[in-house]
This record gives sequence, structure tokens and C-alpha cells, in this order.
Amino acid sequence: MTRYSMLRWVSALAALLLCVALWPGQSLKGASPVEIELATWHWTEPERGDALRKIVAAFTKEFPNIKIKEGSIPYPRFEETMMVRLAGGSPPDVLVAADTMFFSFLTRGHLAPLNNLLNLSKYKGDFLQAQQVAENKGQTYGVVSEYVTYALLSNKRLLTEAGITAPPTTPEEFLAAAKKLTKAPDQYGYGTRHSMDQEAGWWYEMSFWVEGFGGKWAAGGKPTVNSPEVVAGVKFFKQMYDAGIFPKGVDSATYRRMFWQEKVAMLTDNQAVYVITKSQNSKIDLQATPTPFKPALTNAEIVLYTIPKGAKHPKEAATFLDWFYRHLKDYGVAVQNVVNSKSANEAILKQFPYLSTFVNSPLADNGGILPRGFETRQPEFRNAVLKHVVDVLVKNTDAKAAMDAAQAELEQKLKTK
Amino acid sequence: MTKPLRSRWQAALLPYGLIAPMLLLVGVLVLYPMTRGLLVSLYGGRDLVPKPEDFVGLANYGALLRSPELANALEVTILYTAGTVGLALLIGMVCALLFQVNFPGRGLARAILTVPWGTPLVASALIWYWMYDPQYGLVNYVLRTTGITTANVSLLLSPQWALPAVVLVDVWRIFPFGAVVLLTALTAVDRTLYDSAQVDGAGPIATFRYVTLPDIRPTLAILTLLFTIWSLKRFDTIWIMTQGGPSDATNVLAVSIYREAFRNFRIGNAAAIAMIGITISTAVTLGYFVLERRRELPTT
Repeated sequence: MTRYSMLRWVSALAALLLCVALWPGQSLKGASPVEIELATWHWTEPERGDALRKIVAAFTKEFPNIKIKEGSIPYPRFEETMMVRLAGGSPPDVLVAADTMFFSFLTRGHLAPLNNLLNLSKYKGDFLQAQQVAENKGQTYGVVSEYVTYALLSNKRLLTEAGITAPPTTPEEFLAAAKKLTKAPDQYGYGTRHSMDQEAGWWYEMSFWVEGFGGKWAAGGKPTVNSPEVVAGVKFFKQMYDAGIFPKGVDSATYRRMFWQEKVAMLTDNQAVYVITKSQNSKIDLQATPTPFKPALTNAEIVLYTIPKGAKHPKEAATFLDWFYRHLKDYGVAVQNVVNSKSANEAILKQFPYLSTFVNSPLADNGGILPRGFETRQPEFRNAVLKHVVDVLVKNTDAKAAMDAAQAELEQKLKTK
Repeated sequence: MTKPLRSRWQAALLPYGLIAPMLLLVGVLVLYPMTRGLLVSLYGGRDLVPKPEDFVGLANYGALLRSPELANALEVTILYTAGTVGLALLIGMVCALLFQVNFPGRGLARAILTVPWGTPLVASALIWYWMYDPQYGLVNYVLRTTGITTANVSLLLSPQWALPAVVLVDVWRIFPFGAVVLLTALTAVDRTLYDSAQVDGAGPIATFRYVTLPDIRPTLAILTLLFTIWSLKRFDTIWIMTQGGPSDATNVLAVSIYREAFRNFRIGNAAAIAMIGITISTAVTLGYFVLERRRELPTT
């Protein structure tokens, strides 16, 4: 073999090796793992974060070629951080969104329809009603994983000592019981957010009391924050404020701590607070009963798993979503929460019977916190309404006048896109 | 003998060459974002990257100028700035005068004085938030035990007291800086002037007014400017403690900008408010330079 022909053979072999190496998705050592980013605030939460890590570890064991990177951003900054990333063209592969965020991302066209990526029809019979939130114009934009609902949490011992034999079932009973239970400043009947520094969380509680009186934030394509029902809810909140049944000026962390320290007798809170209270004070005689309304409506915060448009690895992200849904029971058990799967919930409820109160309560319109037809404008509703509720609480402004002002402000704001 | 042409050109261009890197930095980090901000303020819509069809011209500014919310935000910003700057300068001056006097442990006291200034902003806001807590807070404990009040007081929930409460936090944080700077200026005052004043029979107030104050005026002016600009853009303390509430009592411009941009996602509107804020800051700075210039001009 001449030197020239040897060089030709070596060059050909090198070219062949290079082609193999550069072939899409291939490497000389075999397929390299694909890394997908799962962005959620859950990573930052001790219990939920650990549960998710276990789930991810089990997934990676079954799919060693897909690695999951933690996109960890705390809840208060999650929406804005993700919005900047989505607008900037660097989305994560799997994006977890609470309901308000979901609508925010969806209306700006940042979410990919899942219909071509996932066969969701096989789960149709197993989905709960909450899955409908993810449907838009015949396309599915997310898989609901879980939803958080509210109930009346009460300290049975404190209620019994005050001569209250059963948890209240109407607002009037609730107020009377809370008054009986209040021995300020050592003990209070109730704990709730009520100030603008807790604006996002307070919206849940305010919505809760408003929907209890039949109020809705919006209806028929218009804000209805000055409707008689909403005003009745605001008036009742003012009655509670004036009665001094809850510690004023304290944040949710403080009154929840007071609850497990048995210094607050009742909360209207979600199942996570039930779990935390039990973990902080195992001796507390805690009960979860339906909300004090007829019907006992509840708010809901829905969590969805989505795939953004422009995700680098949508197929792998879809593989994870499909696997995650099939393992929702394990996740639900780990976080002691109900999930978007009828079959999984049966097992979860068997293990945690107290959850049935949360699951069986009827959901308020649009989950209570989302103004129907203005889902993406919720922050503006929240700010306008709560700002004027503060006027009612601390400036003694008439509830109707304050809500008229909120309505006018909202109508003005909603004129702009 | 004249220099060769090439050398003269080099001499003429050298200063520009030397400032070019700084100009480039200022251009990239300050002027470009400001220009982008100005352009964005001409757009409506609720997208972080505005779409061409959302161009609204000066409509955002027009709406803002008619808005009672902006009027309130401006009023609160002015009150907040005036309160913070005035009190921080006053307390800083008193401390500086005290620390000028020789007393045992003065060095330690001076070191302790700088602690608030060194505390991270978010941490100090959270600490004060807890101190104001009506249930467990130190402030309420003191108010109750001294008999000033019998019930818990929610300062941050009161439209009358929320603003003074957040002003106090910022004053606590920035006055040590003022004290340290003023102390340096005080030590530079010519001691013979004090001796002359004493000989002339001037009392402490007259000495301060006619000897100390004229000498430290430039330092005082630059401190006022710095404190004003810091206060105009203060966001973190207020957001952590009140988020602009209650009843917009602490809703300064910076909080309005954040709320519009990252809560309501109306970037154009937020940029327009920011432009108004920048105009105010620029006016304050220009005002300072005009006053300085007038002061420096020889009187006839």
C-alpha cells in the first residue's frame, strides 16, 4: 500500500467516525442523557421539595437517559422570573404554574399545546373536574397535578372549654363562637390576614368570606365588586375586625404559629396548614370541618404542569409528565394532598381520612379567587378591592361606598388592554 | 517653535481616548437601558417585550398625569423623602457633634454607630417588621410596659402611622452614614476660628451657625443630595413592610413601578412612571448643581 492510498483510507475512516459522532442524538459512547429543567417553587418548600425529589429519583431510575435539573425559584418571585424567561426565549422544559400564573402564561402565548406530545385521552376517566382549567379552544395546555382547598380548622379543646359543642356552620355562629373564644391579648377566636403587606394571601381569605355570602368578583364580562353579595362579605369582615376576634397587624406566619401554640382557636385554611399544625404540636386536638357557609363553598388553588413553547426538550418533558401522572398517588401520599386522579385519591383518602373534608367541599365559582373572564387581571382586582377594604377596616369608610370606588377603579383599569 | 501636527492631534485626542472606556460603560449600562425604558414607555399591552401594534405614543403619560394614584404616589414619595432626609441629617448632625467631644469609649461608640449602616437592607426591614409586630414586637412591648398604650398597636396597619414607621426604619439605617461623613467634615474645620469666636463672646449656637455651618455646608449639601436620591428610589424597605399599604399610605413611586411591571405586567405604564421618577431625580441633581454654582460665583 502506497503512502498516498494509506492516507486516503485513514482520511475516509476519520470522516466516517466524524459523521457518526455528529449524527443527531448519537455519540461514540452511545446516547448521552438529556437534561430537562423542571421549574417550580416546590423545590424551595421542605416537604413538597423532598417529595418531588423522591419522585424525580424514581423517574430517573426508570429513564436513565433523562436527567432532571431543579429550576428552583421561591413562590413570591416565581411568576415574574418565569415571565422574564419566557419573554426572553429561554423557557424551562417543564413549567409548573398555579392557576393565576397559568392564565397569565397562556394568554401571552407562552405555553405549548400538549395534544401532539401526550396521549391524555387514556386518563380522561381518571381526571377530576379541575382538569378543565387546562382546556382552551379544544387544546390541552397542562396537566393538573393537585389542588389545595380550604376548610374550617379548629381546636376542639378550646371550643369545648368555651362551651361550644360543635364547630360553627354559619357566619353568625362563627362570629359568636370566635367572640366567646377571644381573651385578648392571650387568646383569639380566629386568625386571618387583613393587611396589604400580605396582599396575595389575604385575597384567599377575602374571597372566602365574599363567596360565602354569594359574592363573585366578576360576572357577565364585568367586574361585580360592588354587588350586594360582595358588600355583605366585606361588611362581615369589618364586623369581625371590629369585634377584635383576630390579632391585628400580625402576618400569617405569626397567627398560624399562635394556632399550633393554642392561642388562636380557629382558622380558615388549607390542608397544608393542617399538616404543619399537627407536625408542630402533635397533642393539639385538631379538627377540620366544612366552611361555615351553606353550601360550604371553598376556594381552590390549582397546580398545573405545563410545557412552554420553545422548550429545548419537549418530548422528554412529555415523557416525564406522562410518568408523573401515572405516579401521582405516590406524590399525593408524600405531600398529604389530594391529586388530579380519582383512583389515586381513593388510596390517599384511606391513608389520610381528614382530607375528605377538603375534597368533598364544593368549589366556589372559578376556584373563588379568579374573577371569571378576567383571570389574568386578578392582581389588579386584588389590589383595587383589598386597598378599599383597608379603608373600610381602618378608616371606617362605608362598605358600599368603598366597593363602589373599587368598582370604578377597576372599570377604569380594565379599559386598557 | 510649534509642535508637529501629529503630536498636536495626539494631544487633542488623548483626553477623549482616556474617557472613552468610561463613556462606553455609562452608555451600555445607563444610557442604553434608559433609552429602552423611554421607548417602552410609549407602548401599551401586557407583554414584557412590547409588540409594534401596541404603540400608544404618549398615551401612558397622559393617563398617568390624570391618575389620582400617581398624584398620591408623588405626594407619598415627597413626604417619605422629606421625612427621611430631614431626620437622617438632623440625627446625623447631632451624633457627629456629640462624637466630636472627647469622652471615654468614644472609639467604641463610633464603631457601634456604623452598625445600622452595615446591616443588609432586607434584613433590617424584616427585623423592624418584627419589632413593630403588635403581638410579639418590641415596640408594642415598650409602649405597653411604659403605659403609653394599653392595647396592641398595629403601626403598619394604620394609615396615619405606617409612613412614619417606615421612615423611621430608613432614618435608622442611613443616619450613621451622615454622622460619619459630617464628623469628618467637622474635624476639618479650622480650630482657630472657634478660638476667635470664643474671644468674640459667641455662644454655642452662634458658633455653630456662623463658624461650623458655613464650613461644612458643601458636605451637608452633597449628603442632602445623596440621601434625597436614595430615598426617591427606595423600594425594598417599603415593599417588605407594607407593600405600599394601608390605603396607599406608603405607596411611593418605586412601589408603583414594581406593582405595574411585575404584578400587573403593564410594562409600558411602569416605564412611564419610571421616566417621571428619573425626571424628578434629575431635577433634584440639577437643582443642587445650580445652587452650588451660584454659591461659587463671586459676589459683586
